[in-house]
Amino acid sequence: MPTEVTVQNLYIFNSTLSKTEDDGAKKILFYYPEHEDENKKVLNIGHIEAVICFARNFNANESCESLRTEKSLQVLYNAEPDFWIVITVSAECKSKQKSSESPDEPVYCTYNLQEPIYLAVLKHWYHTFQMAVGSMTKLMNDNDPDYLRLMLNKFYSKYLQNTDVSSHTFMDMFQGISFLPLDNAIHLNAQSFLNIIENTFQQVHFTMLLYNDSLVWSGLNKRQTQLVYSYILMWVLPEIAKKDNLVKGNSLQQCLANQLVGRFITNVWAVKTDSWISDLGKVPIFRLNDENDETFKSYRLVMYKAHHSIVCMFIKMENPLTADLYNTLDQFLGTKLHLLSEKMKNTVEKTLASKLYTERPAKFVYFNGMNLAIKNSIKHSNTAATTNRPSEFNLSPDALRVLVDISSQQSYMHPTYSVMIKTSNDNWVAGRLCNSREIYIVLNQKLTKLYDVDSEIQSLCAQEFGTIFFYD
Amino acid sequence: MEETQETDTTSLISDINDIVIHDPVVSKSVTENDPEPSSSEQGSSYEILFDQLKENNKHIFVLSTAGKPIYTRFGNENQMASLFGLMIALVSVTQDSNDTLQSICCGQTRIVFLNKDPIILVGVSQSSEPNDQIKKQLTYVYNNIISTLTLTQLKKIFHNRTNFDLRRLMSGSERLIDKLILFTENDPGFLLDSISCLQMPSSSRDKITQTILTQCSKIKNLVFGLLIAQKHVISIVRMKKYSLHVSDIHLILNLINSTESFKTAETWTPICLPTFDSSGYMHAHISYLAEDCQACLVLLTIDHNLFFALSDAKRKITEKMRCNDCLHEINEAIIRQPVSLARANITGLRHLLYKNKNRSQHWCPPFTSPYNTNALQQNLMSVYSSLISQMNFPGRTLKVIFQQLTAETMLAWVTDDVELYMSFEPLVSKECATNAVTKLTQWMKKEEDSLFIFNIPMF
Repeated sequence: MPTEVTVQNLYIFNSTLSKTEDDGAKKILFYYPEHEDENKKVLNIGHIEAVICFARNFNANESCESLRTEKSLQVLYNAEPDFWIVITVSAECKSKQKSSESPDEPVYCTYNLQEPIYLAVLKHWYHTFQMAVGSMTKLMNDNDPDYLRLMLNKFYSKYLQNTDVSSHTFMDMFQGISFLPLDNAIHLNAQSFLNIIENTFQQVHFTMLLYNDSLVWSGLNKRQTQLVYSYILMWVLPEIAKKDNLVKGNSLQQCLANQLVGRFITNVWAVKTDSWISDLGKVPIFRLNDENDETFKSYRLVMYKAHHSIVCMFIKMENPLTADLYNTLDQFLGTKLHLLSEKMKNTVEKTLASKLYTERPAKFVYFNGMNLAIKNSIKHSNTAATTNRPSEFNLSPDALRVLVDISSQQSYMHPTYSVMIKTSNDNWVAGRLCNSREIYIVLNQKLTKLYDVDSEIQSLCAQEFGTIFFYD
Repeated sequence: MEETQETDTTSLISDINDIVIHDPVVSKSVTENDPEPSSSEQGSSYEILFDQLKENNKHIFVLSTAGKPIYTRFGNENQMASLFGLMIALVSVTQDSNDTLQSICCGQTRIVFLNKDPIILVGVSQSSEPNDQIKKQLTYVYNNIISTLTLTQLKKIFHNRTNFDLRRLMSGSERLIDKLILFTENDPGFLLDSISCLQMPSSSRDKITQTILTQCSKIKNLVFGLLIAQKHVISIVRMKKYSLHVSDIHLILNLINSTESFKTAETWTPICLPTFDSSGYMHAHISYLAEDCQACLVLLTIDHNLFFALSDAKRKITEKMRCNDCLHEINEAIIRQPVSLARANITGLRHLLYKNKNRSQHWCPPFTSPYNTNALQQNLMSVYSSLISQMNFPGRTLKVIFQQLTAETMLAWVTDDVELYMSFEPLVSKECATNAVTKLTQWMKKEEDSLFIFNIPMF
C-alpha cells in the first residue's frame, strides 16, 4: 500500500529561554511552518518538554529520541545541552478502496515511519549548520537569541525548501561520500597537484578535489569532508548543471576576461557568504579546524571548475580575495586541472571497460564508517563508480524499510553481524556488518534455498568489492 | 459431599454491587484512610522510588483516566502520584488533538501507552523490547482486569464515579497480574500467540477427550471444557459455533497456576473471558481430577445455577477416567521427560520454537546445553522475541530471517502453516540450516500427533 509521508513541523527550542509561563514563545528558536498559530507552537513545544521530562524518570543518561502517536512520529535530537531539534512526520495509507464505514477518514500507517531516517536528517543538517555558522550555545552567548533565531531561520528555511524530507528513505541515511576509483599513479598525480596549489598559494589552507560528483581527494578530516561534500552536492552541482551560473549575476567575467579553460564558481547559496569585492561575487564561508588543532577558524571557499573536475580551496579569512589572486589562480589552475581531469576520465572509462561484469538483478549499498565512503547501485552517480549497470527493477518501499530495520539493529546489537531476509513479496534482502563496514543487498530473484541466495551475494561481493574482506 | 467454596473473585463481585449500587461511601472512606507518608519520609522515599524506576527491567503501571492509581508492578503506587499525573497529562494532551499516544523511545528505554478508557496502562522496558510486545503485555494485564470485573462493570463503576479507587476491588487480583506479567516475560506461548500441549500418545488423548465429551454433551449451557496439567493443555471440548481464543486460555492457565487453593477444593467462580465476551461473566467450575492425578478440569458455562450438575459431571469424568486408565496415562505424561530435540538428530541445531499456525499450538523443547543457565535461556528468549516481532511487523511481514550473531545463528522460517524459529551453533553453514528445516519438518510429521491437539470436538 503506498504511503504518503508529510512533514508536519520542524522546530528548535531551548527551554531555558522562557522564565515564566507567559513568555513561552521565547523558547522557540525556529519553527516550521512559520505561519502556525503562536499558541499552537508553544503548546507543541510544551508537550515535547513534558515528554522529555517524563522519560528522564526512567532513563537519566540517554536523551529522549522519539514519540509515536497513532497519527504521527516525532523524532527528537538533543543537539546541544538544552537545545532540542524536533521533527514531526505523519503517514497516510493511500489504499485504492476506502473502508466502507468511513470513506473520508484517512488511514494512518505510522509503522512505516522509521526513526533513523529522520534522526539522520536532523543530525546532518545540524552539523552542517554548525560548520557554517557555529554552535548554538556559542552563537547565543556571543550575540543574543535573536541573532541565533535569524541564523537558524536562514539556514533551516532554505534546507526545508530545498529538500523533500518526506521522500527520504534508507538511501538518505548515510550521507556517505562517493570516492572516485583511480589507479595509484593517477591518484598520486591528483594529490601532488593539490599539494602544489597549497605550496604555491600560501593563502590556501585546505584543498579538496571532485570529479563530477565523486570525491578524488580531500585535505579535511572525514567529518568535515562529508559536510562540505554534501554541501557541494546539494547546492553547487545543481547550479552548475544549469550552466549559466558559473559567473552568474556578477562581473567576474569582466574582471577575469581571460578565463579560458576553467571557471570560478561563485554566488552559490550558503548560509554565510562573503564578498571581498562585490564585483567578484560571493563565496561561502565555513568553520573548519586542523586535525591537530581544536579551535575552529573561518575559511572562504573558492571553487574552480575545469572539464569535469572541481577544485575547492579554503582560503584564510585574513587573505584578501582580489582580482589579482583570482587571475593568478586561474592561470595556474586552468590547464593543469583540465589535463588532470581528462586523465581521470580516461582511467575511469578504461577500468569500466576492462572489468567484465554480469548483469545481476541485484542492488547494493556499501558504506564504510571509517572513511564515510559509500558505493551503491541504487542512486546513480553520473561517474558510474560501480560496474553494476542499473537493473530494471525498482526497489520497493518495503524493501527499503527492511534495510533501515537491519541497519538500526546492527548498530546497537552486534559488532559483526550478517542477516538474510526474505520479504513477503519474495525478494531477498541481506545485510552484513564487519569492522564498521556495512553492506546491504536486495536481490530480485525468486530463490528458495538459503545457500543459493548466499552464493549470489558472494559473487556480487566478489565482483564489486573484490578487495574488501567480509566476515561470512 | 462437595461444598461450594467462595473465592476472592466471587466476594469481589458482591463488593462491586454493594459499593456501586448501595453504598458508595465505603470506598470513599477507604481512600481517605490510605496512609500518607510524612513529608520528610516522602523526600527520601522519592529518591528511592526514582532509582527504582531506572533499575527494574520492566515496569507496568495501571491508572484510571482520572489519575487514580490502580496497579504498579514495583513499589508503592501511592508514592507515584506525580508520575501518574504526568502520564495522564501526556495522554490527554495527545487526545485533545484527536490523536492517541503510543510510545516514547529513549535509548534502550521504551515507554508504551495503552489507552483503554476508563483505564490507562503504561509499560516501561529497559532492554529495547519491541513496542508491539510491550503493548501486548499491557493488553494482557488489561484483559486480566476485565476477567475479574467485566468491561460492562468497569465502565459502570467509572461512569458512576470517575474518581473511584479500583484497588478496592483488585485486592485479590494484583497477585494474578504479577504472575501474568512473569508469564508474558518467560513463556513462548505469549510471544507466539499459542498454547503448549501436554505431550502424550494421541490415542490416550482421544480417549480422555472422549470421556470428557460424553459427560459434557449432556449438560445444557456448558460452553467449554478444558483439561490442564500445569502450563500445558491436555484436552479441549467446546460447544458448537464457539471457540476459545488463545489469550483467554492464557488467562485461565494463569489463574489456575497461580491459585494453590484450587488444589484442595473444587471451586465455583465467575470469570469473564475478554476476547470471547468482555461484557459478561461465565461461570467456571475448577477442580483437580483426583488426589493422585494433578490435572485440572475447567468447565465453563453461562448458567450460574449449574454448579451441582457440573460437580456431578466432574465426579463421573474422574470415575470413568480411573476405570479406563486415563488417570494413569495422564500421570505418566506429566512425569515423563519431555521429548528432547536431540531425538530429531539434526546437526548444529540447539533449540527451537515450532508453532502450528492453524491450531495456534506450539512446541518448545526443553533447553539443553549450552543454554544451561537462566541468564542464557533468558537471552535466547529475547533473541526469539526480537525475531518474532520482526517477522510479524505490521506493514512488512517477512518469510525468512537468517541471522548470524556472535553466540548463535538464528533462522526464522514462516510458511502458511508453520512458524519456525531455530537456534544453531554460530558457524553453521547455510546449507546445513536449510537442510535442518526440511529434516525437522519431516520429523515433526511423525511426532506432531503427540505434541499437538488435533481433535477439539464440539457438542
